[in-house]
Amino acid sequence: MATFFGETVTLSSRAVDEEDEEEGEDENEEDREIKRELEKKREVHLQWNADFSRQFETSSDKTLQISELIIAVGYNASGFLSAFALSSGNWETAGNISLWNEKSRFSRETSLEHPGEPSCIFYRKDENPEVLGSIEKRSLKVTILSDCPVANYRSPEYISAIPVPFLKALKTRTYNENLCCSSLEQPNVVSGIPAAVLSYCQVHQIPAVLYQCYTDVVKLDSVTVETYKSTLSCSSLRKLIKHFWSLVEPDDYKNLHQAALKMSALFGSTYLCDSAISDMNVMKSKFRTRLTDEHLNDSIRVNLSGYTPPYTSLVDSMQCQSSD
Amino acid sequence: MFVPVGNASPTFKDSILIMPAVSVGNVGQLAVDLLISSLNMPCVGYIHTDCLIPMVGNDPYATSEESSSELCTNAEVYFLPEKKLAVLQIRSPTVKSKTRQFRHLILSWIKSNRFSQSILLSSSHAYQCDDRQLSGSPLRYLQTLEMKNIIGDKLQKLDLNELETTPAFPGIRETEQQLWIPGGGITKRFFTECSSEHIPLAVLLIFCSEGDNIPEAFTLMNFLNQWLHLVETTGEVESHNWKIPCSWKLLFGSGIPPAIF
Repeated sequence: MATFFGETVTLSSRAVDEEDEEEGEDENEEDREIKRELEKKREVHLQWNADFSRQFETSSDKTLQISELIIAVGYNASGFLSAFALSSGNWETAGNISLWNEKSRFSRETSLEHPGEPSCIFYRKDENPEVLGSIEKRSLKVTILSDCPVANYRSPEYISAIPVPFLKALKTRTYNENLCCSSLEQPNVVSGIPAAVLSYCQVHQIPAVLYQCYTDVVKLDSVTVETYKSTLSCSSLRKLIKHFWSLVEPDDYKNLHQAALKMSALFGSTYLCDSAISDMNVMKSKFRTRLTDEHLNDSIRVNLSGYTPPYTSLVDSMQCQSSD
Repeated sequence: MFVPVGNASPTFKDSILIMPAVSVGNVGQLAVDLLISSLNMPCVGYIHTDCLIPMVGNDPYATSEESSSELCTNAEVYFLPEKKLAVLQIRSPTVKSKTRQFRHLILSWIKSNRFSQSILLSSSHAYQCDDRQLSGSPLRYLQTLEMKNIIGDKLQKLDLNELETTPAFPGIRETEQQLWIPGGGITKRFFTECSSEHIPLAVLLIFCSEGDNIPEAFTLMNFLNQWLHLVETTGEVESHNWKIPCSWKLLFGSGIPPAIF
């Protein structure tokens, strides 16, 4: 195309890249070798730690049984999960993914996490074996949290008039639960890792939901992280948060917060205390004058423990009358 | 690879396949959108591959509240068994290093399903037209030998010109003539591969520039309709009953700030 000044420039297109035309066929062996090296370098490596590798090996079909998979993509989404999920309960790292492409500043050999570099770590919770990292497809449910700049959002209203940040949801056909926010309207689309995971789940009929937070701040920001709080009502995340009300700011829902904390501190009856005191009264009778405090403590401890001595085997091991 | 929706895999044998090439102005994709939307074609499967950039969204052809929360992926197959018409819609570009793999994937899928005819809708940069192409209709066609055996010269009878070849070295008179489709994406290589694999393929392309390419999509579909009679036409002036899908709104950005008025 000719411009005003008489120079010719190649027009760029939103759909195709002119370089696509010159692909492949004129390569020689050296080019192919270089391409192969580059592809090997760009491979994604998945490393499980020792416990998990053992579990994989010992399972019958080399898979892990998991029911929930939660993925966070982006600074704010992963910040939200770290603050609200990973900080309550015991989580251990299960594995990580390492990758390299031309944009990485560090080579693959350094296995430390560098701030600002893309990294991916799998965590697993001790009490419920719900792993963030799964192979088994049956009875699996996937939840994805992702950040997105609000500039990518299309709406008939002017964007600045919409209160930011806000959540929009997309779900696969097999996902039956209620959404925690409104569905993403046409013609908006999602791309990248959340799209790849959701496509996989849709094609393989796995129930999955994506909560995308449109925000005007790209880096970690407390207001954006708080927007994700409404996803805590979805069943996957609700299970992970045991002490939910202790994580909510007291000023947010003041009365409800106080009532919830009082309820969680209540217990049903004083039966256990009363029965322990009765047992102590039996032990500390007026005839036991030589009972010390320490002896009493130890006796109560043995009494309150659920341990019953194996009388039969103890008795059997004793000889009643030994012949000398 | 093709993954059907639900458990039953549909049989495409002897159906016509229409697919777009991701090309300048996205004309092929817009035209296919029009076709799927107007005929209310149901989705019967996904082309699940890592050769395309991943993308998801809600149903782009939704007409009601319930259907507007159906997820759609980047490459889906729609099928109308009563019209023996299958349509593949590709919504995202190919990953740069995987175009060859993608072409082979589509080619082997077409072969294994034994479509009777395949039609590729595409476009090419208008600024690269030579003098012969500047005047007259901007539509051109290409067909493989097998396609010619099936439909004969139907396309020529509909006043369509075959795409002219260009000299390999412009300016020098006695160089070999070759096919050149600038901005056509996978069109040229796909066509040559289909020719060598003996697949009946026709390519319908339109010269255009980038911008609002909806009129070009209509032009392409009106011609396709003339050929295949997919949608009824009404009246003398041949106004077609095309239905615009709901995903075509806001093509040029969000709402306008009221403060500028």
